[in-house]
Amino acid sequence: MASLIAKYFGAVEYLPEAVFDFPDGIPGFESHAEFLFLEREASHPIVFMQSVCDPGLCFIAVPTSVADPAYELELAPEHLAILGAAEDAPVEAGRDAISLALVTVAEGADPTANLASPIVLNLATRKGVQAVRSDTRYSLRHPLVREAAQC
Amino acid sequence: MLIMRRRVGEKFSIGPDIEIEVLEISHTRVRIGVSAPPSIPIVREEVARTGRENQAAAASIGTDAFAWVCDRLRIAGGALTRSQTLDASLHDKISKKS
Repeated sequence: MASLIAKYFGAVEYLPEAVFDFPDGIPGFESHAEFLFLEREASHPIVFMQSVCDPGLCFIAVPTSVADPAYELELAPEHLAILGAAEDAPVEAGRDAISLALVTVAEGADPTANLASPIVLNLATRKGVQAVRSDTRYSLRHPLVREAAQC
Repeated sequence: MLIMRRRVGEKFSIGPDIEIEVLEISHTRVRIGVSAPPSIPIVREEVARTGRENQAAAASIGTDAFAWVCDRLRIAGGALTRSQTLDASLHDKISKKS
């Protein structure tokens, strides 16, 4: 078992197979090639994306389907190549792959999720990529909280 | 903004070291070739924007902010569904060190 001090968890032990490999890192953090994805019941549905090489770097994320139940994942050939999926046998979200949206909190504003650049994990190959979309269908700052007044 | 018309195979330069060539034009897309020194990063605009958003995401969530996000997400509970979660096999591989 390897172990690290995770930002929001303290000491965490993990098997090497738990680590997801991001061959190119993610934009802005190109040198971070390994992430652990942690969950805990109390903070469901948040998924913590903890950098293995830097305990101080931990993104928080939610499944894209939580941010937008109708979210449609689209992967470019270069993303499929990184994920280790064949182009003619694309990964299917929910079965082979998980897609997450990174959460940003701007001071005094509601949290937002980045649906324009989902984090996609291939559960079989343990590869991950931030699949930056080139279309403009989804927002980089999709509001996560609806107005309470609507209820 | 400087605007110019170019045909396939024609180029233009930015400064002494950067050259840009129009390689192919189709109905909805244009292929562009960029020659520049390795020290100059060339990324698609959406990747640069994603990098800035990632930096903001990493910087925005301190331990305090995190608790706050948890609260806010719980308030929105009605809108949240559990249709996806990490695979169970992953949980066997990670444990909280006691």
